Amino acid sequence: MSSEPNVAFVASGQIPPSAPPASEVGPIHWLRANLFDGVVNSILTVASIVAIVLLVPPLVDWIFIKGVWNAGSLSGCREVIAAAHGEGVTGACWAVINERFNQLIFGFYPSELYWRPILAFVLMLAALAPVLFSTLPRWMLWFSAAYPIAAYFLIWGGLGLEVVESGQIGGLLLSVIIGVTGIVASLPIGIVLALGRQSSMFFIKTICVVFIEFIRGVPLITLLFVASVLLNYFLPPGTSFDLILRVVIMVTLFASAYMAEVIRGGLAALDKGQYEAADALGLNYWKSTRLIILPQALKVSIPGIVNTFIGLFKDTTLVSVIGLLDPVGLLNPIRATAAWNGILWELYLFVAVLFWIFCFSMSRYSMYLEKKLKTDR
Amino acid sequence: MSVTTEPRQASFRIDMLWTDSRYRSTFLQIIALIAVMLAAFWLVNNVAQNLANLGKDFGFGFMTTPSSYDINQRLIDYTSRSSHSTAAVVGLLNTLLVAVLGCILATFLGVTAGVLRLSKNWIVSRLMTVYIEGVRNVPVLIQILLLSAILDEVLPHPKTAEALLGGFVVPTNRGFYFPIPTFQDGSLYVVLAFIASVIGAIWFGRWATRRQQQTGEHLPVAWIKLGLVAGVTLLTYLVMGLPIGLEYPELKGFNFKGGIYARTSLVALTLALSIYTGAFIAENVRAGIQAVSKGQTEAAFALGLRPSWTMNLIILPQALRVIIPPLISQYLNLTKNSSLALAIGYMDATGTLGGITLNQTGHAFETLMLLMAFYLSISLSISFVMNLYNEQVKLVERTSVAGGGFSVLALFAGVNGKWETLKKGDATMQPNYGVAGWLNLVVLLYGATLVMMLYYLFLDQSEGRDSYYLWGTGKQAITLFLTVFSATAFVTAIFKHYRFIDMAAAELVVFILAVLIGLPFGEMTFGLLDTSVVVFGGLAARLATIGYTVFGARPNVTYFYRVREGSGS
Repeated sequence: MSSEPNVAFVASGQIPPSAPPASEVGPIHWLRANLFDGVVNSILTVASIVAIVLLVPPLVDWIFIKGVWNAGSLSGCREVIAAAHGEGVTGACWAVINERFNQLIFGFYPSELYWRPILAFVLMLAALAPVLFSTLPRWMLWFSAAYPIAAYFLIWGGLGLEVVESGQIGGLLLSVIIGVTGIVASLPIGIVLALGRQSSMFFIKTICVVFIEFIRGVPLITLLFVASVLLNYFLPPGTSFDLILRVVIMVTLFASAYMAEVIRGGLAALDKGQYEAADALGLNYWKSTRLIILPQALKVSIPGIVNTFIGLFKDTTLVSVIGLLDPVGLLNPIRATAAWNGILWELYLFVAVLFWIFCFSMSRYSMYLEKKLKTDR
Repeated sequence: MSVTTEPRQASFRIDMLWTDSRYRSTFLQIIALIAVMLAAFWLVNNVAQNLANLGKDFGFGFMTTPSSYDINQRLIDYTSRSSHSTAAVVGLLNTLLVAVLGCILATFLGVTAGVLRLSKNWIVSRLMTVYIEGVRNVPVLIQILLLSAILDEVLPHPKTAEALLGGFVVPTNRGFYFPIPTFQDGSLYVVLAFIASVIGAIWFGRWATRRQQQTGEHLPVAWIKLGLVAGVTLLTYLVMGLPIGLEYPELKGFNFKGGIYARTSLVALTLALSIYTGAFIAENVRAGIQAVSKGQTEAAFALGLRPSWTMNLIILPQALRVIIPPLISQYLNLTKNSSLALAIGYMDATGTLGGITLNQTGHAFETLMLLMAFYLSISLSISFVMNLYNEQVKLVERTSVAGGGFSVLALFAGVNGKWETLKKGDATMQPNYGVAGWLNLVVLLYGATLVMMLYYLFLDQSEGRDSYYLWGTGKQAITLFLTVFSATAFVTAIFKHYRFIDMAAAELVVFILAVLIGLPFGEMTFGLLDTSVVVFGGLAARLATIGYTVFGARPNVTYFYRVREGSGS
């Protein structure tokens, strides 16, 4: 085969590959494959582009270019816009956020004491760290355990700190208090309920199922009504305590039912062999649950727990219906003042974006966890 | 000679109660029972004391007093002189209205967005991601408030309002006006033709499925069905001389008159809820389609199926198994979230019963109990349906056991073959659907019973009869039980599920109890029939349905999936 004399031509080397046709490479190919692949897709693409062009530039213009950050009232905003861009032009009046920012975050908390909730928030992150990251030293968990007491005294005062009334607490601070307390307190209750629901003891199982299905079957708002008008009836005559505490109790009960279902999912996802192996080792119920079952089941259900937290955090806005002043509850009082009467988009957008940032980052975190858990299993 | 040694009788020690597995479960349950009873006693005692201290009494009598408030969006007759219970029913119907409209719209939005998010089209899938992630992470209350405020501010006053979509909707800041269909002579025939063609289409669908299973030939079922329904109905419509028309709303004075009126709060609530829930449904749809492994598509293509058949026969049936359970729980969430109507002044159940009625009468206990019972019954019936569905589409595995506890069927297990769900290994395709057709009669019976019960319980306030809220507790309880069992028997029969017989048997028992305590059944049938006819006819009908389904040919309890052939294994 090497050197036949009668072969007319033998290539001495490899012929370089010819370039692919222009339609198969580069941006043109990408456009054809992703945007103009068939008639329907082309129509959809054009429609989307038209929609984006029609919507986005005016929005950017309204929000950023014509937006006003410094003014004393809505009419002040309009004057500034009219002076800068001419009569009849509309722009966002962010001045209301600028002026009421502290109120939306802290409610009517005394402004000279703002350092206390901020410190509590920072400490909360520090207390959460050993729970979220298993690489940190274990003794830090003692700090996490002590944190709730510290946070209570930081926010409400006492022990030498100036006392702050519950009525003064509002804004995002209130949402975070209710959301975080609800989720933390509901975790142990949820675990107990989930184990009870899995139990073979008929009576205990029935109690757990009835509790879970009842709570999950009614809207949170009816439970909040119970907190605001009914909870005092269930306690010995003469007892009465703070509305925020009552709301936190009901929210905790609410969240624990959902938490129980999430953890039950984790328990069910566990391979049956794990239960059998634990039995085969001769572990009793509590030991096998504590050492074998729960660590694995909780790990599987962390994304679900984070999702429950996102849902609960969004649901804290419902407390505005029973008159607590969370960010949503503050909107109408602000809109009712003489200076800001008639303002609409700016306030709602601000609160929506506030919640969106929290919830979106948490949902990304839960997705990241889900991915991480999937690969190492 | 053998020596038998008695095992040493272990003497009972007190710590064996919580260490020995023979006693532990009973012991723990008794402890739990005592704890729960003590807690319940403590709570009830506190409530009684508190109510006594405040001088309040417990009872539902206030529900019959005039409500003296107005409800501006309603589906049934109501004035401020109507009773609180009628106001509550108006509220419940309003909740259901929002829930039904919202679920339809949310499914439409969600399926569209979920499918488009998987589209190869880069820009469209990104836009859908922006919609889903943007909407999902913002509290629904803010969205409802914002949408309602926008509609109030942006929409024109009725005087300057213009009709959109060829007069089909007139948006104003007072509300939305839609044309209302008017029925003239002969429209009955059009409606009848429509119903008949729908039934015909269903029969045709069954026939086509059977034919496909036997011969493998595939018909364009959807198109033929559509043609059948539309063709027959349109033909009758033309022949009868266009008897059904539309009455458009007209501006008279300062407001529109005529047509269907929907307040802005209703529109805002429905839109906001469906946009929000649609984002969640989109994620479920996407997850469901992605859950079907790619090998299924490839295998279908290898068999030579066309893309559209692959979608309809291979992908969708498997994806639906994943999509439908979370879809139903999204419907449930939407229904529960509709209670936020309170924030924008739409009078749903929370607004009437938990809002104005509570504040006016001060009976917080009773109103909240009723309100919770209402939401609970909705969500329990939805999860009941979901459980039935899950049982039907579940893959049968080694660990699965059909049913548990007592079943009426167990009493008749030997009579005429088995009613069993099957094992995976020894299954073949069941060629037809058993007595499914005859069960439809049962569905009709229970549907009619249910409608009558509900009407009798809540709506009919005739002169000679006390309201439900004034009856004795026993009568109230029996009537409620009868309604609930009719509903469950109705739903299980719709699903052609073997549990239906248990429900029907339980309903029969309650029916007999109701007769014994003298429930006036004659009133229920609008006074058309004598009580004795209703009682004996009802008994006979119930016995006949139960007897028929127990002794007659077995309905195929595994409607969708596969059954074991023969009875041996």
